[in-house]
Amino acid sequence: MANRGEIAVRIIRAAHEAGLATVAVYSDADRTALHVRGAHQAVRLGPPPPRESYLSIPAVLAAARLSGADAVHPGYGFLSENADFAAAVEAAGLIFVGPPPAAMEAMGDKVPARRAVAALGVPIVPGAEIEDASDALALAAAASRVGFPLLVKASAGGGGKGMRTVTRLEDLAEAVQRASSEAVTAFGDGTVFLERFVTGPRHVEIQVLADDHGHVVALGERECSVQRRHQKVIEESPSCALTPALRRTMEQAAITIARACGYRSAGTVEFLVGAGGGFYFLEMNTRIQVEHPITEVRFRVDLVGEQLRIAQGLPISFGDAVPVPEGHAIEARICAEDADAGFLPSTGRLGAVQLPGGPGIRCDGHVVAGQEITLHYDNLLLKLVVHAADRPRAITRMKRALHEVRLPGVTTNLPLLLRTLDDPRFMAGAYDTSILEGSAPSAPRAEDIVPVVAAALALHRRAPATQPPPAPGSATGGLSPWVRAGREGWGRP
Amino acid sequence: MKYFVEWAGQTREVEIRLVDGRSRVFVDGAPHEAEVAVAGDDGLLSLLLDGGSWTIATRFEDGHAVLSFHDREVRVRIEDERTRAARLATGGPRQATGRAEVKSVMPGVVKELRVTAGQRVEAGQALLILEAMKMENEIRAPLAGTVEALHVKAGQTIEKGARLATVGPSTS
Repeated sequence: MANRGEIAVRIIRAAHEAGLATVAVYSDADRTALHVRGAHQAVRLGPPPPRESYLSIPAVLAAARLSGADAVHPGYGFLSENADFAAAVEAAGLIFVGPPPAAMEAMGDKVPARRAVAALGVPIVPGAEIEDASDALALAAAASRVGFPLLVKASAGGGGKGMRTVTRLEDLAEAVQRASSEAVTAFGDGTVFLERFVTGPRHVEIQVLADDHGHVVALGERECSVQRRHQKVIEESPSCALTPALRRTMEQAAITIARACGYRSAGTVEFLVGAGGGFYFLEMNTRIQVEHPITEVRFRVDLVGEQLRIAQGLPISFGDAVPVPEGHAIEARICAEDADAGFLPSTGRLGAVQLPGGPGIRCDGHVVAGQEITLHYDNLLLKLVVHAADRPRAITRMKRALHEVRLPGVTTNLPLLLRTLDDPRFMAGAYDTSILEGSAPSAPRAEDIVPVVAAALALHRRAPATQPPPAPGSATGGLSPWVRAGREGWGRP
Repeated sequence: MKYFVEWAGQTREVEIRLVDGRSRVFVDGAPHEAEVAVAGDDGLLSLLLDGGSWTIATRFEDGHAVLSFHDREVRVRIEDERTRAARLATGGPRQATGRAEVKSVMPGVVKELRVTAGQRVEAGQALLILEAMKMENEIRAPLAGTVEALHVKAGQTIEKGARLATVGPSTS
């Protein structure tokens, strides 16, 4: 596994169920991480910074050689969508558990991918390419073709990096410049393009699986509109935004795209669904997605297991006969961050971790007591997945399960997750990507004395020796007669 | 022991007292059944309050308690009665007469002197550390000026009401 965290643990689980031996790689920060403990072998990559460890192609290839591995699973993030890495893995005589490098390249850059997909007759969000970001006249002309509000997007982008919303022409040049410079830093490529801002947008993606035996199948959708800073927080399947007919059309579009680029393994085609029900291709993610478990529980498939089968040259276990999905699934991403302080990442040492259980619950995580949560890596701690007969029951189950989670030692987004599940727009299924904007905790209420008593008892417990003895001869001590009278009930009707 | 907790824009008084061998909690004088137990980890507490059950991850920083409930995290300012008395006696609002006698509001041991006679100090600056009831308390200058005299030495045991320092008008 050329990865860490929960996805490395997830791959280990699939591999061990398939009878495959596993090799973990780790940075110095992850020496005792769960994926290192769980694998059969473990090889050190280097110091904690990703560039010197999980993003270092030479270090990962050396680890594969040293351990005698014959396949590399890249997980998500890090090197997973790096076509050069996939090519280097294959050149080293190893199997890359993912699509062919050519398919990754075709879908990797958004500008060429948009062109290719439009040529297949799949709708794309109206937009304009930018030849020269410093040509103000050409920029204004492109913007007027697209119309305001619009999005400036990095061609190599993802995860919200290199993206800006622009509502006025005056702000365009600055936004283009900033998005481009962000993209250079994050992806090494400053190419940006303009895209119309779809109002009331919902982010809906289709899961595809393809093998070397001619099977290309779609496994329904995932609704990923609950986002903060363009990063997903809560996902669900099915989506309230799709009719059966729209679902079939989008699945067919996803299959067409996957076939056209010669896809193999698990992949995801992301679409934007507008308030009017129109859908537009956004991008294809040529890897396993974070939110893949909600598809797995509804379709009773193991997508990572299928990836491993396909990489061995085997057909998809169910061929073309996609299982009929059941019920409703929701995933919540529990992250170490302060959602009420600008989503600042939180660091610390985890105390006594408590994970939820019971019917319909799946926990995909990598958290253990004593673990240091650092700033080096993604702050995702735990993916909580629930499955129930229908959407209302899935929501109550998720709330129940979130109440069971304890991750002492760091600040988490649990309050935000619970607030969102109670949001009337979420409960009605009528929400778009703006749902988290302005989400704030409710104000403290004076009649709620739980925090007051908890704080006092917690502080008191730290210094128990300082407790003075009770006032002699009096159970009520120095309380005023008014308080005593109130307590004893005098004067009450 | 009494604690003062700022919550919902008010300062609430919580008194923890042993009554018939059991710990009782009074919030602004009103009694409540309350008890905490450590839940497997130093910072994780199980609170039973008036029949309700809460599990709360707690930590203290900078005079505040940070309480993580399952559905919210709150940060409340808290101080015990000694700290509060010391603060009100020395650092709290006071008529600026130009000269102040800093007296001890509790018996204790002078742990450390933070200033020397003749030194200019700002209002609220720590003059000395007073150890009392196993807690270290910063005794602060009530006003800006010059330390005219220090009446105690490090290591000295003092009674309640003892003169600690005199802060006078700035001479510069």
